[in-house]
Amino acid sequence: MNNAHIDVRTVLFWGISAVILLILPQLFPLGYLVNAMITTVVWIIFALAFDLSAGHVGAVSLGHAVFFGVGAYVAAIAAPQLGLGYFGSMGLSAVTMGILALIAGIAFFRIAEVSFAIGTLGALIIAQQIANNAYDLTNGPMCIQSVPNPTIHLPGNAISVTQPVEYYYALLPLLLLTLIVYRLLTTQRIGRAFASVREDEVRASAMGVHPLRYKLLAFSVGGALIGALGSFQAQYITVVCPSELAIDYTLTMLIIVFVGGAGRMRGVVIGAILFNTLPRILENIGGGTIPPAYQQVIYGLILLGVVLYMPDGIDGLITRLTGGRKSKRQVVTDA
Amino acid sequence: MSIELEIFLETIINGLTLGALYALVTMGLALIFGVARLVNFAHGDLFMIGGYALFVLLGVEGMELPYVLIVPLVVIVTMAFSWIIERTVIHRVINQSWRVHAVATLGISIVLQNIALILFTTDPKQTPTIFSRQIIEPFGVRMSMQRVIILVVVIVVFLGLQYFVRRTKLGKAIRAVSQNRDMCAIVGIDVKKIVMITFVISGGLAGLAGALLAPLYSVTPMMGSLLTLKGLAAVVLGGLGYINGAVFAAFGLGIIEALFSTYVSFAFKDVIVFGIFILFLFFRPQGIFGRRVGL
Amino acid sequence: MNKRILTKSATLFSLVTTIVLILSLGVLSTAAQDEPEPIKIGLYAPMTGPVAFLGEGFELGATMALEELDYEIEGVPVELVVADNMCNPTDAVNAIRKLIEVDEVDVILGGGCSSATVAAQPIIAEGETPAVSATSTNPSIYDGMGVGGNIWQFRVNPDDLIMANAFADLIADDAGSLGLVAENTDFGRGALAAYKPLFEEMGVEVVYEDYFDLGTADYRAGLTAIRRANPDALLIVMTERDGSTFMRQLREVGLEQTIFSRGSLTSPLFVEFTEDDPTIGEGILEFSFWAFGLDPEHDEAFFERFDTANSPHRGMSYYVVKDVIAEAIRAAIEETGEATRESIRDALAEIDIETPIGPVAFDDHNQAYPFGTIQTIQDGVPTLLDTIELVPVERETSEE
Repeated sequence: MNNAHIDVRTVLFWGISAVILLILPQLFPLGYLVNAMITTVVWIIFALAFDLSAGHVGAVSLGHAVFFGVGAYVAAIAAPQLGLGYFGSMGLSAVTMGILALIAGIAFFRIAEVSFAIGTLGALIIAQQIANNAYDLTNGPMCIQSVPNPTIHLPGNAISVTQPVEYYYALLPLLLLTLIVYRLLTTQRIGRAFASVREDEVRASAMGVHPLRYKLLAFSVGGALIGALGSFQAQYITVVCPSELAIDYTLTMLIIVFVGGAGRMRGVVIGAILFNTLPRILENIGGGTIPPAYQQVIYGLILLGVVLYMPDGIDGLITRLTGGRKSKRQVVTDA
Repeated sequence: MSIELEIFLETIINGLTLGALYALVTMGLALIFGVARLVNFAHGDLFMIGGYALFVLLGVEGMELPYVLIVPLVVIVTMAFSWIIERTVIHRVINQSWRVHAVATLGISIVLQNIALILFTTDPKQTPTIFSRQIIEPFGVRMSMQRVIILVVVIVVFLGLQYFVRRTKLGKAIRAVSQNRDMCAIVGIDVKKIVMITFVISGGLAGLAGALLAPLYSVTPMMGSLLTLKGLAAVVLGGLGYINGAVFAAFGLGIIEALFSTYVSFAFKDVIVFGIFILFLFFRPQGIFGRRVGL
Repeated sequence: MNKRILTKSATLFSLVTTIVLILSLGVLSTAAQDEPEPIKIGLYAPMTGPVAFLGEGFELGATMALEELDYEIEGVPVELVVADNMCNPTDAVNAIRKLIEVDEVDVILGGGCSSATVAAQPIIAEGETPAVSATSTNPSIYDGMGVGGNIWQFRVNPDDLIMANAFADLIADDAGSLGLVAENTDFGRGALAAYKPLFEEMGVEVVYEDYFDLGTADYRAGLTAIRRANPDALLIVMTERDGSTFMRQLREVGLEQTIFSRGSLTSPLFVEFTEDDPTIGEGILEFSFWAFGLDPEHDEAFFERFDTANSPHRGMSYYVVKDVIAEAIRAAIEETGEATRESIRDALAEIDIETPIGPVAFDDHNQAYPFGTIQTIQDGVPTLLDTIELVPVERETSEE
């Protein structure tokens, strides 16, 4: 299973995907649809970054929305004061959230599995309560309003980003970066180390792999990517509220990653696309006549259906349909 | 008695009733976690169903059932709901990791909350009982009789549960499954059936909590969400599935929360509650009483 | 990587994407194909989640108004389209774009939940669609409306700064020291932020101030703290839902302070929520806008139609649709022959009418000044004590 040689079909796959991504907003320029595309890309990045630790080193944190929300607050409070542009702001949020993730990781990796999950969920609740109540800093539930529209500084000129289509293209570099980082970290030597940590930490250390080091790597890189994403969100919506730290983000993330197929790029991406498109379809079907509460019930039922009838996630189903091997995970472990 | 002493006493009583609320919710969560390693995000929604069941039963025209009769009925209703949930969803995913459980129970939670929203609208439903209206005044602290009843029931249920898992045949089987599932399967205990029974009992406990607490508060579709999280924190603090530990942790959290809200700030109380929870985890990752296997 | 799987997954991926796109496009085109072009009123509010009651209230009020209008204004059919903003900025952007771009509504009814309102502002301005707010009392929106930049956003209800200036001295007359209690939302925090500086000016000592998350079950720890601080009176900023639970427990603890409220603690809905014990709301003094008793005929009709009591959210959205929006649409059709987004906006800006909730005419910030009201509950019945004319107030011009 060596990816080193360049395969025509792989190139073709990525080429087609890239073209689809690039022309999509040109084909469907309606702001509502472009906004849906942006949300989908946001979730792809979010879910991949989460999957780095959840799917690859087995550390399922329910507090990842902290990096998103605090990253957004950093972009709303600190970045404008420092006069940072679009990428500068993203960088600031990425660095601060990367460091935060590193520190949080050192503290939280003392705790195992379920305790780790609930503990990080507690951290998220704390962060949201602080955002809601530290009125002088965050404006509490009145939100930080009118975050400036971002400017992208290119050699020679500066572009002001205001329209959804512009935001969409401005977000693509972060998607590309996420895909590359994800690929680099989950294949080759690091990927094998990740897998061995996930499968059995004791055995991994016996084999000379330092589990904590790899867990921290996955956690802080994921945190940094999500931080950058939070900065994007702040500059796109131009309002930052405590609801950016809501538990709902964590729940959606769990759904996307574990229903899509944890540890598999394809599964996670398809999960993100599906669970972003589903609410959009539900709210428009039949001319938009289904009341919102009914939409939520249908959403929940579909989710349950997927969990029950696709035990190895959407990715597993695809593998079975396309006649591929049962488990790729094993392949990685054995390599 | 000086006023400051009275205030302190009142705060402790507030903490005990809060703790009783958390304990009732936590017992069920700990029980099912201990037996099936199931993190049930829909547990608070079973609590909500208990509240609505109480509301519906209190409102049955022409048949003024006494509260003491309604409470067991509510428990039976929530047990029936739990049974349906177990048969349709839980038993199909029970052999998978807790992550799949989390996603599945989340799906259940979304469905239940929104069905409640459709059926009962967002209006908070009131479920007063003869006890909730009766005010008593021990040590100068005014409170509703309902709170005393809750405290008593928590103690009774707790002791009953102890007796059940230690002395009865079924209880021993449940305990055995929580300690070593594979071994139980080998000696011929029907593990799946035990899991089902435990889930139904756990749901019944949530329903009991709903029937007892709704008269003091009010019943809404979202009433269970935050409770589930606090309950889970208590489960983790108590040592994952160890019921005595979870109940102890629930009361601890309740009293800390009451003290902080009265003397410092109500708005920031969850920062402190979850902050202490996390600090505790850092220093005692295995929970207050250390790692235990099983109930 | 297995080559075969990759190609197949590529096909599948494109297939899924295509299906999804075709679905959404099909949906979009059917939505746009309705034959006789009706006037669409968009309802922009949280319909699910913890504050779903806001959207529910708006939907009841708007539905009642449209039923009375027979779903028709000046012979043109009218319909209501609902979008769920879930009270957070992200879903708000989606919901407002759906209303403006997909449903192509002509005018939007919204309010409550400032995070969603604020996030929608640039899109409303860019989409050039008039939006009328019915109950959003947060003062911070005022600056941006009308001459502040967004000429498309209007607000019928007075905000908390306007009300605080009218009511603060009434509270100060009665209390030397005050406890402030509010729900921990933009509504609660915004209202107290408007009142606090005025109390300070008037020499009222604030001895207690705390905020309670929506859906709090047990308030006793807060009530014990109030007992400890022992203020002369309490000012409570909550809606019926949390307020009724809070008051129930306040009576249980036996606090005897005078209760002032800003929210809806004397509305028929509050009485409905406390009907098992009518003493809970007795004597609360509420300062607000809409009140039960301003329009007794409607109050009765509302209960008959829905079998549930009226409230500020329900009542306000009724008048905003029945009187303000319908009137603007009528005027727009009269002036220009058809109701477009632009003609409705122009008509709104010009509106100057008397309604049961008071005069409605918008100032240069698109803010109206209906009646302020003083209400109480007497013998278990919501009672209107007095109406006050509200006036524009001086504002710190923030930024600029």
